Amino acid sequence: MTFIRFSALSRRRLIGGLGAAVLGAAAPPGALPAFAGTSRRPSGRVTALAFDQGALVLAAAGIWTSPDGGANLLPRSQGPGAPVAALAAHPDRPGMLLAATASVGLMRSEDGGSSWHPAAPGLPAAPLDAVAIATHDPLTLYVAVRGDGLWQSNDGGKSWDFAMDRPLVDKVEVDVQALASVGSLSGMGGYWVYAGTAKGASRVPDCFCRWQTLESADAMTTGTAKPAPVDPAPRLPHLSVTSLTLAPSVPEVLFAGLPSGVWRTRDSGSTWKIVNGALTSPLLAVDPLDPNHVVAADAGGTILSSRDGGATWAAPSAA
Amino acid sequence: MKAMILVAAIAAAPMARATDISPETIQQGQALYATNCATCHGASLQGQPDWKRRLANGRMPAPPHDVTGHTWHHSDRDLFNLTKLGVAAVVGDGYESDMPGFGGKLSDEEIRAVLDYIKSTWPARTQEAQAKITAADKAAQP
Ligand code: HEC
Repeated sequence: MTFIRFSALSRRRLIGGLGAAVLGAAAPPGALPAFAGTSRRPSGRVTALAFDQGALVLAAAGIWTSPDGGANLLPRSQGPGAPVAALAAHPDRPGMLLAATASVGLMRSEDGGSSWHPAAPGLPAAPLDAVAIATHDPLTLYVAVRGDGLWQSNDGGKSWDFAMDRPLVDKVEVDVQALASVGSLSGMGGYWVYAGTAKGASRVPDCFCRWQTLESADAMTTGTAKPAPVDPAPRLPHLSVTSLTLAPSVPEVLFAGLPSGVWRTRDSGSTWKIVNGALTSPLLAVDPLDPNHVVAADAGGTILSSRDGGATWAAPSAA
Repeated sequence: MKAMILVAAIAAAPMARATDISPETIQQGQALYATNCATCHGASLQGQPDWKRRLANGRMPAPPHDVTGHTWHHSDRDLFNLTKLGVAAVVGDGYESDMPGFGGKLSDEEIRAVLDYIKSTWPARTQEAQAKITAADKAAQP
């Protein structure tokens, strides 16, 4: 995986547990770049991307932010003290971020990524691969624990319950590597949780009754209109989905990052189309304030953005 | 808080009976539950141990039918179909499940009675939530 070069550090942190007070301060001196000045390209592999209101937040070696959709990236902090697998931003509280990390659990920042604190002492001490804040209730959090499954908190991270095993795809349990809370009605008294895996994407109603792959017929999807059959249906490929995102205000439009590029659905995942093939396994973020503003970044730090909901893409430019 | 929930739970049982479901139906359902469902879903509807985790064969254990499970998230139509046809048949797409269909064993009336019994054990709040899901499902049907 991408985190191999951090593994020695990771293991030490893991043994140290989640109780360590100021994890950022424990980072070995000199391991991370100095955080001053401006740069257009983050150092280290880019591992996570999110929109904190209008501000783009990017995790690489450290946390970087951009006020202009990626045109200018400013180093913000050394990050939470471990590689960040995923970021989630609070819908109403600017600056409130959650980071799912490889070795220090779930971390929280209240200041846009400058400082980080343990957010979920009750989670198993295993690598976290994804995190999502429920669109209908920001106190409800979902986290994907590697080799384990989904955990849920209903009190903003104070307490956690095991919610659901990992999806079964081709008779094998697969890890969830991307999570999105999708605010369309599940027909079961709640909303949806979508998950990207190494083999396509699956979703589960937030009652956690049963996973269904996005390719499957929506047998259990009562209460929502079924899309007209398309033949041959342009499905999401059965390949690694490393990023899955949407603007909460437009829950039927989702973007997925696959090895082939950026894929988009406009019908909650029934049919998909590749809208950008320039980046490999891009990380994606949609600006909640402008659902047409989509940003994609690859691991090497190349950023492309779209201002028209994914139709056309260009390097972000300062407005 | 706990006391309030308890009061609600106690109040719920007679309420469910008072509406459209007769005590006889619930009694019949309770007996059918004991003979047909309890082995897997538990005598007190508690489900199989560790029911959120897959079994070694990749299938899901039997979930509780009390409020800690997700039975109450399904509409009446879904619950009926799940019980009559089995989970695999309803989900389709090669989904494998240990929940058998009871269509060959129980009449439609008997299936409804079992489900009425299960519902009668829920607190009023849960019954109302499930009734809303049923109403939304009815409205969505063509
Ligand atoms: C042989 C064991 C077994 C018996 C007997 C059994 N069930 Fe099940 N049931 C299961 C299992 C296992 C599941 C979970 C299936 C899955 O998710 O794949 C299940 C799931 C269900 C569900 C779906 C619950 C949900 O929320 O998804 C309903 C409803 C249900 N059972 C009702 C009944 C009723 C009513 C009876 C008795 C008439 C019954 N079952 C008897 C094993 C059993």
